[in-house]
Amino acid sequence: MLDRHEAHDNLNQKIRDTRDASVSAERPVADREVPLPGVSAADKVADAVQMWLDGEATETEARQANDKAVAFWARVAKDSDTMRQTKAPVHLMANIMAALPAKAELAD
Amino acid sequence: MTESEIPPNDVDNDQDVISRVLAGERDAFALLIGRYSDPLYRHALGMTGSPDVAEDILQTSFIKAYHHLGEVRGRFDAWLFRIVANGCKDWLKNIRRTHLSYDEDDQPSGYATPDEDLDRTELRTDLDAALAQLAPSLREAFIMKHVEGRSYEEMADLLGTTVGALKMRVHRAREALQALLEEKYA
Repeated sequence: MLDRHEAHDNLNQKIRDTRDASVSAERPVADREVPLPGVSAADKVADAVQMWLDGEATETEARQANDKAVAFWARVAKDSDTMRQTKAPVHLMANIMAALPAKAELAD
Repeated sequence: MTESEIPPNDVDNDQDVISRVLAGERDAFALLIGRYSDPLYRHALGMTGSPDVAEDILQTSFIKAYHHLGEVRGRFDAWLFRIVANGCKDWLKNIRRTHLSYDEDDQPSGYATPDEDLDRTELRTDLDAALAQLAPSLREAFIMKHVEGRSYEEMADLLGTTVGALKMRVHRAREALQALLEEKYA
């Protein structure tokens, strides 16, 4: 496991904690209902917020549960909208086609 | 790649295009590249955080798909997605193994180069850095849900797992990301 020293602030410490968590979570336990080490009960996303993000609850209901979390996820959603417009580089198709042999191999 | 992005006829026509390629019409493969490169690039970019790596993974995946085109059974888009998704996860495993052998402070933010970082918002850079801390399966589920905008049903179809398992992965990813970033951005 990685040593932890010279933690400069809470964010860095949380990243270190969660990194440790991700190393163990990489083993096949990802689907188990166990807490992520480094993520405390206080960090748990409110059920209403999770449901709102899944389209199963209204924003009002989510805000009533945790207004700050809704503000955070609204910012993430805006950033994700921008990411969704990203296109593959224009030269990618030409590069792939140039790398292909004359004829595809037939299976079997 | 999502159902809303591709007209049903195009999905139906994938097999026709594949037949043409296998019959020797090599250039028809460009139709498949044009049809699927954008959503697959977004997936690879979200998973790796690096445009250069995402491009390499796509190029390798399409070439691999071309060589194995005769083995496609069922939906081509799901088959191709799995090639790209596995390429991303293999890359993440390798980079994680490499970085674990160094001091943790050497780990780059989201694995992007400084030049790539210049084009990103601060939130995007922080999100990539936070996503890089998650297990690949959690990262994959979060990217598919939030960046690619897929439904849980579509994710389950592509990944061959259950809606319940994917919901849990997305929820766990959200918890970790919110814990890391909410204080700064809320």
